[in-house]
Amino acid sequence: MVSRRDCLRMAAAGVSFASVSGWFGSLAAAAQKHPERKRSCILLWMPGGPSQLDTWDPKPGHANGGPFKAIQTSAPGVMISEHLPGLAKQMNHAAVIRSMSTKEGDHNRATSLMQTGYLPQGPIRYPCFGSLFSKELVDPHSEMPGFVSIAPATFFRTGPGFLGPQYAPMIVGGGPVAPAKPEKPDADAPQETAPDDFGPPLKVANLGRPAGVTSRQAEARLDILKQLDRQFASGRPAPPIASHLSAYERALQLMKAKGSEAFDLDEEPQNLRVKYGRNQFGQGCLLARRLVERGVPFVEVSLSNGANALGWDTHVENFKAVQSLSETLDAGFATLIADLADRGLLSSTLVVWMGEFGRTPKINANNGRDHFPLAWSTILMGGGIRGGQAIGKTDPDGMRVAARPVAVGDFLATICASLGIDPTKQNVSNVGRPIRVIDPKASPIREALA
Amino acid sequence: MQTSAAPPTESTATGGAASQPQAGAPAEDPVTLVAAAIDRQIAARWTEENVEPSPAADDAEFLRRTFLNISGRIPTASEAQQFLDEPGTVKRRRLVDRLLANSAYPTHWADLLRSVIVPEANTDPILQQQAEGFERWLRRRIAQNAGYDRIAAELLTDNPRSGDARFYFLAKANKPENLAASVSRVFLGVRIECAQCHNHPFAKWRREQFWQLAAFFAGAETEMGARPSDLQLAELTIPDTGKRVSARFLDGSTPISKSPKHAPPKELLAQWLTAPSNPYFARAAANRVWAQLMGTGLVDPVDDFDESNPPSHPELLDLLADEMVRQKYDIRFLIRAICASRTYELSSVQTDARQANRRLFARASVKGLAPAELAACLSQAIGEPDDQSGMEANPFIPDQNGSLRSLVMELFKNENVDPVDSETTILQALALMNSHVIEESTAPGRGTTLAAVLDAPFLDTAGRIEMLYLSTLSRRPTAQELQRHLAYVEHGGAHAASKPKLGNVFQQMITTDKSKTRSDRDIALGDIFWALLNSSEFLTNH
Repeated sequence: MVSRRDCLRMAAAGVSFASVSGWFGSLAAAAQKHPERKRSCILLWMPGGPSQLDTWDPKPGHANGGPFKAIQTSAPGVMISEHLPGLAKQMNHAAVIRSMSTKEGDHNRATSLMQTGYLPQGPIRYPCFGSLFSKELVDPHSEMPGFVSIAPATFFRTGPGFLGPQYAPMIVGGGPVAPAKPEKPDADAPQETAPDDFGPPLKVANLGRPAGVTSRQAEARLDILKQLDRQFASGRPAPPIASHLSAYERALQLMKAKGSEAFDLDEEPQNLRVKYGRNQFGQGCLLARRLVERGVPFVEVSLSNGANALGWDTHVENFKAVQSLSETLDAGFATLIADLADRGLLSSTLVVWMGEFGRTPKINANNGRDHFPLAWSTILMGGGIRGGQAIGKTDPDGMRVAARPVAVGDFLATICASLGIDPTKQNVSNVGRPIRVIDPKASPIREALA
Repeated sequence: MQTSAAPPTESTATGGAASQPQAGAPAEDPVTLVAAAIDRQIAARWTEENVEPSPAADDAEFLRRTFLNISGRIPTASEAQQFLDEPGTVKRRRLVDRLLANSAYPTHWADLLRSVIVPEANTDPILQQQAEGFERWLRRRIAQNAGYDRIAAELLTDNPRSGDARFYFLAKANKPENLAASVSRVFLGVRIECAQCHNHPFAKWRREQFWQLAAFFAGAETEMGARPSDLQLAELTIPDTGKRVSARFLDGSTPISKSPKHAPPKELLAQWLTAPSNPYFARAAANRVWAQLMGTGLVDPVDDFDESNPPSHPELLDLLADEMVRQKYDIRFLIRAICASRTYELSSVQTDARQANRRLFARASVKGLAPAELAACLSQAIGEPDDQSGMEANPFIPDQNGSLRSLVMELFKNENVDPVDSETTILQALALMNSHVIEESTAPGRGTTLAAVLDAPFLDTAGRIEMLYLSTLSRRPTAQELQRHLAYVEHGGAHAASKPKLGNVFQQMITTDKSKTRSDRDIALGDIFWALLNSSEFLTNH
């Protein structure tokens, strides 16, 4: 007897009842003919709501424009903030979307909206698109994880939602899963390496065997464990046990040299590391490139700290903070694009830059800017993107979208199209209702796609 | 092992023993009667399907499983020892009674119920903080053994005693459509929310019916403490249409109030919901308790009662529902009755491929542990206090705590909460193998439980190994396991092979260094402890 649960599973597994939507058809056909064209995605996530007028959509002639100057870029007619000079040279690869328009100005809700495509409401736990897309792109036989999140912000995070913890990101560098280290070093504590002059090291929590355990001991332990598990599992076929054993096997594989060497930045030439920037974000971009090279389909790098403790959430002293953040951003982001291009990886890697909303064009009494979702900017670069252009525009005062408004669904649909993912694919949600990867009402920004 | 108090009646080829009441129990007591009825109904299907059930679970299996199901934790080593060594045949019943009388039961079941009623608080850190008062109220009512119908009614109405139940409305953003979807799914077992936007694709629910139910909560958004008492106002417009509907129950009947001036719609809804004549409420309630104890509901998924999704044992479900009503929705009664059944007492070992069909209940299920359970089990096993205060983490401050509970809650949180399909991730495996907290607990001289085991003066090596097993797996090692572990420990554990092969004299000189040998032995015991903590047997409920 096939249960209701099985029915829904089969429906999600690919027995799609909807016809392939028009716009996807041609793109998919192209991708399918060349399977190697399935792309990877690097998401540069800017929590707090970065100010668009001080980065990608400058208004130098207007009172709202603030003190920053605008500079020319390698994209004719497109000018950006003077504090992003490295990126200015790479704008020929970029499509700047200046007409993002959403309605949500609350951090938590806006983060959910931008990362899942939906506002948090009702019982459905929507997955973030990192989980959603990596699920479609990941090679199940690869020992590398499908979704890695580097130095994520510690609050307002979305997760794998109804896809389950299998699709949660592997977190590198920070986050609550970092083990608590003892306050004072004692004889048994692992030897701390000299402080990295590239910022706090980016490590996968618990990837290394504890220093107090010898390798022989670790092997002996695993041997005892194997015996216990073999005895218990034999005669008890059950999904939780099978999943447990499989996770341990994959974890052990990852611990072995091949899996963990991907995370070792010491392999990279020193001068390249310096170009990316002596900070967690810059090194995170470098790590993202390494991971993409090794087949990880989705990597998220967050830039949430700056001189200003609020990061991009610059209600107070906006310009000092944004200048500092821009310097960090520029080094990491521009070097990443150049590095990907040098290695021939740019056409197969989509780089997305976004926050959860923008900031008010009118400068407030604290020389800051507040939340502003009505007209803001995001960037798409690299794989599948027609670069060198700005899409949409805002009014001279930045207060409204003047042309080509873009909603979150369309934005995500564009990413989906670039990555070669079937938007009609369904997953079973936690309420049993199948949910399509992309809301069927959305359509990608055609002019952004090459 | 257990002798029957009454002579066996006709036994069928399969499941004959299962239709006997548990030995030693008074034959007339209602718990026994219901348990026997459960066994009869379940065994009848085994006969139909020609399935041989698994053998009965031994004491250790029953002990650990029941502790986890009722209290959300494993027994301590001494609780395990006591139970295993207790003579007599009524100890299982007494265990269930003891566990239901203990405060861990309302804490655990309030947690479970909260997770069902307000799943949003599982992942939203702000809601998590606000849930504290709500959970306290649930715990109190369950501890007082308030009927499930009273709890549901108090939740829905603005009963001042359930002041903390306001949180329910808050978590649903005070929106009538969210409240309707929730009430339907949680208390009626009906997933009506598909019908919010269009007629339900599989079931018979129409869009109009959804909004008629939602109309009971009309004005919820603007309430803010005010109590609408006018049924006339319980009306809503279906979005994107001009259609106005008034509050109607799901079976189509119209709410009537005795005094039209004072007719709070939510109270009428609560009354209809919990009325004995309501076919959904009692069944949904009984089904949820069954699913919690047996791993799978008689209707599966538990909140999807539908014509196209019939119960596996319709008569049994009716029986349990009727019993619930008769016992005034006493949750403890149902727990007692189910745990007293032979069906509950089956082993999770599979001896026949046909036992794989979960809907036959021919074998006990294996379930993953919920994060709170895992935190409790780990804390207890390693001897760390389970710091529950660390749970309410301020979402704006990065978690520097590193406490075991916060590590576990973050790492193991799962929005797909069906435990029989529970999944382990690589990050979880890495944390259990390599994290600082595990390293500390398995290193001699640092871990609390391990230290107690190593330092107990009256134990020999075999005794210490037994203690480690009792603290984690709640059982004693088998003869084979003990032999293997003893050999490992007495040969110096992992470092045995590294000892150079010298002549006998030198060998003796080395081994007379008692402190060195002892510490190798301690490390070896720590290795065994580590393996126990990482084993699938420890990390599942079976």
